Amino acid sequence: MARGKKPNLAAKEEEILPYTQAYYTALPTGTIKWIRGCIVWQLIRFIVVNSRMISMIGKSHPHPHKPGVH
Amino acid sequence: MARVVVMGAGISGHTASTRLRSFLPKKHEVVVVSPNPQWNWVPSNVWVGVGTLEVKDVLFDLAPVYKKAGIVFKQAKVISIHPEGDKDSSSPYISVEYTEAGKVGHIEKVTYDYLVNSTGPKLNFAATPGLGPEGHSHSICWASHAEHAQKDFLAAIERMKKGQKQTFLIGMGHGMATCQGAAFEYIFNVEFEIRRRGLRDLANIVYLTNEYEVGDFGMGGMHLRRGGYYTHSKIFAESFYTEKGIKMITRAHVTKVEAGVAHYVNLADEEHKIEFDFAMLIPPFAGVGLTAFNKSGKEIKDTLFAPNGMMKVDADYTPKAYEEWKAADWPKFYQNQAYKNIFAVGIAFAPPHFISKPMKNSAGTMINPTPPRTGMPSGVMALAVAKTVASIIKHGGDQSKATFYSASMADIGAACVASAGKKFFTGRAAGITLHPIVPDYDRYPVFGRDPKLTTGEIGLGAHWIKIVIHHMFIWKAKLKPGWTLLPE
Ligand SMILES: Cc1cc2nc3c(=O)[nH]c(=O)nc-3n(C[C@H](O)[C@H](O)[C@H](O)COP(=O)(O)OP(=O)(O)OC[C@H]3O[C@@H](n4cnc5c(N)ncnc54)[C@H](O)[C@@H]3O)c2cc1C
Repeated sequence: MARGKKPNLAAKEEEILPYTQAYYTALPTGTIKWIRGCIVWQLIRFIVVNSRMISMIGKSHPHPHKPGVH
Repeated sequence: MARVVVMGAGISGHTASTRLRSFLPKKHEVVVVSPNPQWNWVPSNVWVGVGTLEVKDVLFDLAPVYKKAGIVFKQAKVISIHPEGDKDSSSPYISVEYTEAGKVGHIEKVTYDYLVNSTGPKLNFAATPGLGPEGHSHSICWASHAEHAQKDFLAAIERMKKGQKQTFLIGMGHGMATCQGAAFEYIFNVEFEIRRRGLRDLANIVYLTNEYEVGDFGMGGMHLRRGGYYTHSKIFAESFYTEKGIKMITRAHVTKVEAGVAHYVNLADEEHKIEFDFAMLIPPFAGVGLTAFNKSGKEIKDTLFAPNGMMKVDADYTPKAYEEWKAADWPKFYQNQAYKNIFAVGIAFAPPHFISKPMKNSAGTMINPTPPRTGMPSGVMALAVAKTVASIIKHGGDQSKATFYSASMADIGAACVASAGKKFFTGRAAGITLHPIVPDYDRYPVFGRDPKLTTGEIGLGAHWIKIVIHHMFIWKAKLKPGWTLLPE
């Protein structure tokens, strides 16, 4: 890869050699990489991930215990 | 009138003191003792460490905020706790040493009715010879460390611009270090900043960790529901490292750091060394070194503290094999059992055991992360303690009549957003939520966690959340309008 030509290219895929650890991992396809940066889709994910976090935060609030029960 | 003294003004201490102030009528006093005059939004130290934020962006002065809120602030470090008072008085007190200009070294007794220990960690660089900013590696745990790391990182960038190849070693500086999330986030920011400048081919980026597998994060990892599978976070993390061309060294304990060389041993007893041009290695954590004395002046450190210096609370500290660990071992109320007016939250409380399975090599060297206590749980436990203490005070100190609030790490979740680049449109982040933090195999057989609330994904959306979190928590910590409505 020429220096500075492809600043957004993710992996150095050409270095993933058979029988090395990297060879056995799941790698994102070009579509997934595009989706990760697609503004419209990511706006939706922003809302979805936020809602998920809010629901988890709601479940993580301190629980009150009746006097004498603790 | 009751006086609550909060030791420390980090994420948990600041939450405890400000929430207590908002719950308690003005006739009660809230006092904060902390050696640092500034508050630090620690998670954004990652961005300071690569130069995308300046140190001033993650710090603000505490004194004006506390003055406005009606909290007494003493810029001092706590040295000892005297829970029974001393021979002159039975009032419990702490001994503090001022760090404030003009008063440096001045010792004072600060009496309390209730004490909250939120002193966080001591960064135990001494556990690995040569580790840390005074040795041969960097840290981003404190804002000043991150600023120092930034300088050397940018110098390495300059060397690459001149065509020199550089090796960046990032990870854990000891077999029992925790905070893998910070190293995870930092390495992806380092990679992003190098790639953004078109210099990626000149950088060898290596992640070195004590985790059994990457994606363990000191919590045994987690199974994320994605694409029709329950996939372990190892797959998720390993994929991200590979995609970015980052090499991984796992199951490693750094034994020594020399100028440009880190030595490590692994679970298979192999000894290796790796050369680097820039290293950021997180140190292991210990308690900050407080001690305690009873009324007659006898040291009672063991009554209040575990051997690692963290404070004992209502956990089950009975030594048990990994197979016997239960969610119920974890503390609910963060209350010391010997002195029930003392509480400990955040990194300052002593966990009952690890979350990840303990591992050692044949020489007996422990190589596995200690339990993380990240920002969200630290804040939630501080809120729980603030509510409990406020209730006890409202009931005139009668604990049997008060409502106690629980926030066991086996009951609460965590949201972890690890950014990979700071730019608004080209940045990415891994957004992970998990619930509960400590797996509960009785409630959730097989994976120990609620599959609906344990998820993760990478994208720009998660990166925007990270930006929102940065601004929201600094807004909240400054007690700006609406702060009480924002979650921990
Ligand atoms: C680089 C980095 C990135 C992180 N990113 C995230 C993230 O994205 N999300 C997340 O949830 N968590 C994150 N964390 C973890 C999070 O920052 C910690 O969990 C959190 O700061 C712990 O809060 P604490 O109050 O226990 O300790 P601290 O925040 O460390 O506060 C301790 C306080 O005690 C004071 N103190 C120390 N000694 C004394 C003494 N003797 N007397 C009185 N006061 C004393 C200190 O000055 C400080 O004010 C990150 C951590 C690091 C290092």
